[in-house]
Amino acid sequence: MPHGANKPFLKIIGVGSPVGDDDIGWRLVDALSASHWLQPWIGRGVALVSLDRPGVGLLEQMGGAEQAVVLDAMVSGREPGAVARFEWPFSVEEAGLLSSHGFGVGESLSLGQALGGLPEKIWVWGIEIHSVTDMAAPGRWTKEHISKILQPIENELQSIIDREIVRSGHK
Amino acid sequence: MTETREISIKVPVLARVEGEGALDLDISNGQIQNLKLRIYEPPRYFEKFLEGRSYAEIPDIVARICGICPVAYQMSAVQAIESAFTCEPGPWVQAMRRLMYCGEWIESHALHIHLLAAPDFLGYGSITEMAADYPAEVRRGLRIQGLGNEIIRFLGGRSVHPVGVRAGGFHSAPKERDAIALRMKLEAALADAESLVRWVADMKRPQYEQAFISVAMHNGERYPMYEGRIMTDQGLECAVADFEQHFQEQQVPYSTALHCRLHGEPYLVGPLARLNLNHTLLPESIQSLCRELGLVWPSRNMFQSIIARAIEIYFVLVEAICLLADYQQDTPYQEIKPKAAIGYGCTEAPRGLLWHRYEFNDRGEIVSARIVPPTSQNQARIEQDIARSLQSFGLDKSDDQLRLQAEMVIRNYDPCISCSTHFLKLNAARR
Repeated sequence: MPHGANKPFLKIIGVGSPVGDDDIGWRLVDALSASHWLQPWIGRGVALVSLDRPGVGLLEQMGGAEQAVVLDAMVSGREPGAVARFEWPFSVEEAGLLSSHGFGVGESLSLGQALGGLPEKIWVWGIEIHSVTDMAAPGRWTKEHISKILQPIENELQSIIDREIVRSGHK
Repeated sequence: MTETREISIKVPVLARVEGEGALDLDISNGQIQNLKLRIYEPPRYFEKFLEGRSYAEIPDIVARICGICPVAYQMSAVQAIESAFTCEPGPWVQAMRRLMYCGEWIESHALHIHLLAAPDFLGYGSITEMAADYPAEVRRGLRIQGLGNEIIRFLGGRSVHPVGVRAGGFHSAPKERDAIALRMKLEAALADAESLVRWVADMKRPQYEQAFISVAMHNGERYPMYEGRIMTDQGLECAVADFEQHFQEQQVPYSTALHCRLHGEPYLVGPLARLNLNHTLLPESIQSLCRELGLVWPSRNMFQSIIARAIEIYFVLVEAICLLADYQQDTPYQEIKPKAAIGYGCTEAPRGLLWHRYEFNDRGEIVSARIVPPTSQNQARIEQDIARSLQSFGLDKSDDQLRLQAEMVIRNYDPCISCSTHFLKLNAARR
């Protein structure tokens, strides 16, 4: 029995802004939305959304989902394009995720933790970016870059979906 | 006792403001010798981006100036476009624009109150710390903020960078059943809005009055959001098109944000200024609540700004319910006929007056654009306020106390400094 659109078992959220390379989360959501393997699940238990500087609005967007995967830019000293996986709860200071207006993904999750009502499982994937200080250079992230960045993320998403299939008897 | 030590405080990171700014403060012989608020201003780039663009592109471009108040930029923009091309969009569009603005005021004010200001007055370092002791109040704040976003989505398609606005009106008219559903949600939130006013009014705030000039829109008929003339509490009243005759921007060497002055004087825009000039236009139920809570307007205490925001949330919730009460779908826009002309738009963003001026060629493309955001207009006033407030607070306090007090003063203005990621460096030096 498919999940209703109102309560997905998995919500994939790309967080970003139009400044510099901070739109990488959106680019990944776009690529996932177009991926053949994920298509059958979109609207049938899996929801994807791109958010521009949501701040505390992230909590509202996560609300109702059993699990959430957040894709966000980070500046942590790694090589551009490197990905890091954080499972909530994690140290917001150590993660190096970006925060617009001083209230980013980490801060939102901390608030959600204090208030209760967060999804049971939350994974945040940080993607190291080149820059947030200049306007985005067109074509900086090629299809090949996006594909490589997505590999470990798609592996995890597939695992989440496989577990859901077993749990709920989906075919 | 006169403070005689030499103090130099530089705040590199102003916490809990929208964007980042820097504060330099030098005190010598008990007097403030130097005070600079260094701010980055993104709209200057957008003024250049707009040159050569068609009028039809402006709403979507200016919405990206700010992720917190995109509606404000769109509203001032379409007003300027329609003023240039002599387009009167009609009462349905005017009502819906006012409704959309209600959504943005709710969303922006609720965010400011709960994330930025309330932690100050209740003694917490952040909303997360505050949420541990005030979970119901924070949840209420998030509910209210969510309603603001719903109103924006109702007309704009989405709450961040809404896409429903166009010159001449809106791209489409929402369905009547959606209007009914939205109105029911808003009605259910009225008790929350009143509770919020009571909660905020009960917070202990510094009682510090100072003289300042309040500037806001005024139309004499209803609380101003989208329409009116520009008015001050010093007796000036002028048309939107005459803004430049009275308000002058100037470059300061230490900040990329221009300072704006009214005939050479700093002035205040924003909720407190609006309320000071228009409180008699609030519904009687809200005026009565103010009397019950001992709130007197006009107020000369900048720390009352948080209450002004809470009252405005309550007001626009009531206003939105009224605007939706008899909602019917209608023609969502009027066609635009571009021509070579200059147009002006001025509306009340959550943070205050937002003024746009566009010059168009005969193809309706922008030749020049000027955007004066409310945060720029408040820059000079903020500096004036910090100087006066710290003098009153006592310069014999520790550096940390002075810095925190300065940050609290700045947060009263809810400055929307930047929508980019910057890092403010604190350079503190005692001499």
